[in-house]
Amino acid sequence: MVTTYIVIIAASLVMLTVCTVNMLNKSLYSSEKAGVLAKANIIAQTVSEVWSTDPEISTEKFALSVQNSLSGTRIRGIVVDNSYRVLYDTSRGSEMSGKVFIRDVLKKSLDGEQAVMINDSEAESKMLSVAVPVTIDGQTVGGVYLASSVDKIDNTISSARTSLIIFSVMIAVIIGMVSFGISTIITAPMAEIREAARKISQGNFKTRVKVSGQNDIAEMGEAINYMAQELELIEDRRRKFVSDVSHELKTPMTGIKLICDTCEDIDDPQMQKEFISDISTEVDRLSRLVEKLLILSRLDEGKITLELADIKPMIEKVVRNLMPVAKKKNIRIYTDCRYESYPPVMVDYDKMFEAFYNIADNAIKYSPEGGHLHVGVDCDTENIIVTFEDNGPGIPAEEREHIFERFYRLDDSRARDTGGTGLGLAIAKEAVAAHGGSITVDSVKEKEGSIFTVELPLRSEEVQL
Amino acid sequence: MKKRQLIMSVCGLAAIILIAAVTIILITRDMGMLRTSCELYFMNESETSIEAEIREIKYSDANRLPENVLIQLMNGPEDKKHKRLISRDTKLLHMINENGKISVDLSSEFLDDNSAKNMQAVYSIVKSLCSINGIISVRVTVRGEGIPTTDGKTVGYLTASDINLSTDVYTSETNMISLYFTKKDSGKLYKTSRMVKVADQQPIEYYIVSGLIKGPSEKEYEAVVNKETELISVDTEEDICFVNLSSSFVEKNSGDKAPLAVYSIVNSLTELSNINRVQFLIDGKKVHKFGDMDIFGIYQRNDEIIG
Repeated sequence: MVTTYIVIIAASLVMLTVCTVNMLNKSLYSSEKAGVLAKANIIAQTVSEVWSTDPEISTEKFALSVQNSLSGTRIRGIVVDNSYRVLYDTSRGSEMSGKVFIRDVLKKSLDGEQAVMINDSEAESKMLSVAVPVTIDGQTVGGVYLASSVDKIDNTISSARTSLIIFSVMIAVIIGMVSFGISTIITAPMAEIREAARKISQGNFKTRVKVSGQNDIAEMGEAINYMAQELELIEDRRRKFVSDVSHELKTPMTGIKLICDTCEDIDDPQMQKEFISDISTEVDRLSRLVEKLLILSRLDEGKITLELADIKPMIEKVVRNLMPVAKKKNIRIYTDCRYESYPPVMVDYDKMFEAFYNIADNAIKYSPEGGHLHVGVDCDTENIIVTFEDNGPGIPAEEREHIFERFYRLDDSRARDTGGTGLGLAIAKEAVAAHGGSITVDSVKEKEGSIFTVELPLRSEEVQL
Repeated sequence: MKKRQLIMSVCGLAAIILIAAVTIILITRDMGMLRTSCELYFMNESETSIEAEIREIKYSDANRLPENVLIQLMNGPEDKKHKRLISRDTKLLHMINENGKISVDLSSEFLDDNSAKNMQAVYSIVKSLCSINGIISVRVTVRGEGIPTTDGKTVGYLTASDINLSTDVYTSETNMISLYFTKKDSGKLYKTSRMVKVADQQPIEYYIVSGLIKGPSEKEYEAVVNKETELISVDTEEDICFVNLSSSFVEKNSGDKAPLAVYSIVNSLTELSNINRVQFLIDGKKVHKFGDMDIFGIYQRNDEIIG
């Protein structure tokens, strides 16, 4: 990753250097060419007005205009006629006057063109030479040739190139160091998070990411850790659930198997009838268990069908349905509705009915014979409050947080005797929670009586859809 | 049948003898010929100038050499990059050599409608013939008449140096300069010579200091002025040469070699007859410190440092 960054940045810097140097080169040469060409045209114009092809006369006549244009420069100026004969040369030491001076650019100027050439083979220094025609009445009578050393331009470009290269190397080093730092700060933790996510995806839910600092990466690490923790919890619950279901199914199945084996050895029809009745009881237990599991499964799916319902008739129906069971244990059920009517709430009727039924059924099962169950319905501005108060043995404080767990029983043998599946309160809790409500348990007195309180919000938007 | 075979055998033998005789004559004739290398000038590829083509010219008599050169010139170039300047139909009417001054008279086919091309053809003849030892100047005429120039005059006798080409090595622009370099661990300066062509308006002093910065072309010598030194300007007033260098001169040149660097410049410049003293300027200013030297003052030639 870091290598890729560095390669991209290095390539960009090289391109930047090359482009900058090229632009500078082009700009400086263009400027120099334009300046020298302008001087050549000025000289061509002024010498055309005093034109003479006699070198002795032209030297005098051309000197003023040529020297005026080239004063303060190191540009050499030569004026030739169209036989390439030098009429004037600023370089007196070259003694070119009257001699033939043939150059490529001069030929072009005598053909009427304005020519520019950069030549680094003619002399030791790189030379810019330009030539323009001298015209009189539209006829080319000669040419003006100017030559200027461009070593200084090359020196400037060379200095700029050196500076840019040094600058680029420094930038590359700084970016390399920053990239390395960023890699240490960002990429390494990201790699750790990636590795953790991979392990979690493979089922290793105990994997955790080391979180340090308060940045985005740390937050991501925390999120990964939270996800792993939740997945671990779900996985634990799933295992426990599977184990519990297996156990709950196995107990009646073992009973049935034993009864069947015994039946084979017994010839007495009356005894066989009793055993078959026992098998039927066990099968009923199994059916109840499977039914409850199905309800839980549907709750787990989160699918609820909401409708407007009145809680009071629902509670009354629950009490009516449980009345036969209560009568068997001589338990009296009191229903206490504080108001005549209650505002309707959006609920999944069947699921809430199941929840209330399970709580009330549970209270009857654990209440002593001749006991009572008090069902109250109340309402405040926000909630419908339903309470179930019994005079059973109560629930120890340390057990209260567990009684809504699946297959959790306070007294296992007693619970089985009463036909409990260990799923009733779990179903009640999940159904109430699915409607945005809450369920709590408290004791009436120490070691006596329990009060289950269900609060259902009146606002339908709190319902978990 | 036998008679016919006999006739055929005699004819074959006669043909073989004839071919052998002609070959021997040709070889003998060629063996008697002298050869010399000459520069024949033709139009260059871009038709902007004339360029030399080195050719071996055969001749039996030295007096016939110019004529042979001219014939080869009229025959055209061998190098495909070059183009002929003289029409193939041109004929040499007369050629008179008077102590190295040659007058060439050509037929009227020599003249083209393009006067510039005519002048280039004349210059190619002059440069080509002047490449022969002993030929000093050449005049070209057409049917006895001189070639007219733009000012109404005619082209007279021209020497090789009268025609300045960019490819010429030795011209009136060529100058010999003396440069002082050092030898490894010698601590002394040694004089070298170099030809430079002053093609622009830079003074010869500029070429000298630039040459010192560029370094020696001979392997036995070493440069004493760092290549990264930048020369800003060189001006000579009276007998003092003001050498204006960028600060890289004091920064890039080693302090130990400071005397060699200073005197390589001073001694090289004072080889010129018009310069006796040298003043160093760094970015236009007079400065004191350069290594262990003080270069604030004017320097004069130091012969003691010369090895």
